[in-house]
Amino acid sequence: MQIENQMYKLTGGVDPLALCEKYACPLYVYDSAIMKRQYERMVNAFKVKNLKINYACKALSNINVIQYFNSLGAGLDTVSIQEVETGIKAGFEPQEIIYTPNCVSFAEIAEAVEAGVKINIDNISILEQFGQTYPNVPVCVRINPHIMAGGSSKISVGHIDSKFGISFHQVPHVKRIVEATGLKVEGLHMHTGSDILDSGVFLQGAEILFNIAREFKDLDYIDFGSGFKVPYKEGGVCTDIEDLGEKISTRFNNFCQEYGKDLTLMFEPGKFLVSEAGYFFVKVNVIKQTTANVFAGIDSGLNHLIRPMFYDSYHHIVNVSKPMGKTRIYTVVGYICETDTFGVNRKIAEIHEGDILGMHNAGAYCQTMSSNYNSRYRPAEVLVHEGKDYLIRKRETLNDLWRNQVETQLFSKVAAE
Amino acid sequence: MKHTINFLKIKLAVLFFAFLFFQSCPNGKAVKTISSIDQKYLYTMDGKKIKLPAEKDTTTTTFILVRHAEKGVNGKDPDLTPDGLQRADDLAEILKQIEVSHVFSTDYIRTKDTARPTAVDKGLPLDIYNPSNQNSLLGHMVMDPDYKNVLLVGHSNSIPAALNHLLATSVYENIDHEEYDNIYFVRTSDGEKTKLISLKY
Repeated sequence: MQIENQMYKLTGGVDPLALCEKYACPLYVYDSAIMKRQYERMVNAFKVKNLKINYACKALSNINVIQYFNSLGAGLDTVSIQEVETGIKAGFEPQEIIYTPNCVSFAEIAEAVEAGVKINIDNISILEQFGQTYPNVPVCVRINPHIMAGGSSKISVGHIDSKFGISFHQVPHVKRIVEATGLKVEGLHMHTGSDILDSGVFLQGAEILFNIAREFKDLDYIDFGSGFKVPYKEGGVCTDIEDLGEKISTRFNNFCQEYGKDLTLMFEPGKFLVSEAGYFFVKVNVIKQTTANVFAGIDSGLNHLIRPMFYDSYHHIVNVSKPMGKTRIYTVVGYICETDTFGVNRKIAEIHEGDILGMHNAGAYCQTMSSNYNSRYRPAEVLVHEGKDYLIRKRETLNDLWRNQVETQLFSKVAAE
Repeated sequence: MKHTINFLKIKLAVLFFAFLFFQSCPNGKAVKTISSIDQKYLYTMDGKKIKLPAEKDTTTTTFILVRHAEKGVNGKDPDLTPDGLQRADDLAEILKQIEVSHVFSTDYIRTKDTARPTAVDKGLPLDIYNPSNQNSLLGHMVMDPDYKNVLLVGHSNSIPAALNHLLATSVYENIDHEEYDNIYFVRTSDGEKTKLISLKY
């Protein structure tokens, strides 16, 4: 979102205030041009013969977004059978989808096999069951490289205490299962965490995976997960994807030569592809001045965007209605009946009741983590594509909140006889 | 006065024919038709030869980029028409004298059938690539000295996109649906300006 003629504009000159007027706040808006820019950055950065970027749709699972990444040539990274089904409904060929669950039932994995998608297994017990049940279905094995990386303990998933993946110390056990069942290991995978800044972490993980890869002769791909950091603050730091691409590509190409086969280099970015593409627009209900603070109370809360409360995430907040006003200090809070603070002591152009605020980086893990807490409706979603806006999710209604509730009549008030 | 009007008429006619000529020649240059290529020269049908940019060292890669030949209208993955099959054979003939190191095609019948005669003639496998991720592949080939002279068969949108990527520009627009006869030679070398020669075939 850029300021043009003193007003914020989305790509193609689309006016966010007009969208808020048309679809009402609170409102999620996604800019497809930014998704494309990020996808192309990855394709340009990694210089290998076979590259596959699997969009991790848990970040933003609207079917239109999934279809958009399909049209760009991406594959799909999924973590539940429902995401698998959505990917197939969106038009992905099953083999373009990789299913990476953890701690799910074997019955769900069986459904994924039936669907024909690539299966990524992250524990020994499931691998044993899988090998005995489906010896002819190739699998990918998720390795835990025991690397502590990521923006916080909640999003670091490759360390020794993490529940994710099979420890690289257990590779001999994996090999025994493979030999005993005749399974074909077609891929190796690791995912160390999110918000990783240091390319050294990837290279360290890559070496671990390459060492393991030498022990499996039927590989088709190596999946390095993702975790690339995107800027959340103005001028904030991010992963230098071009530098990382150069280093990983060189190392990967050398490994392919040594391995004697052109393997596919895979990644599964979610946040990197969609975070910056999303904006969350909210209306200011009240300005409340206390002895210590000036609060801007908005028509949303942790029910719609929980990242600031859950991860202590920073989301840049701007006054979209009056961007050129004098800057003042505000604490932006929600309407939920517990503390739901979006930002403390933020410098924002002077806010008046009724103004529209815009939260940046609202594309990843925002709408998908929203809820109906306090019996509030989840917001509408709009996609801005080539200068036009498209409603891609309707705002919920009271009927949506009641839809699956079963009223038993057990306790309904009976009229006195 | 009469002379002036006649002179004006002649001038307008000259301008009109010049306009027609330049319309058919992108960038104002007449596009010649290739008859063959070897390591150093491109030979045109009118007996001219065009010197290829000198190979600098092992980092030089020459990309030969074509859209698939004339396609039929059957379904989403159509075959080549008889004209298209002939053009595919012509392509192999044109490339007879040059040492091709790799032949790439997208995973469609029309592109594979365009590339196949060349691959068969050279005894090379037909490498399949995903046009959506072609920038990654192109970047790899530019860097890897194993890729010397590469034939890449793509589509009306992916071939201009490849030209834009290799030449770091955005001027190449989608090829017209009825245009199947463009052939582009792009030579890249480490530290050198990438060079392009556009011809017909």
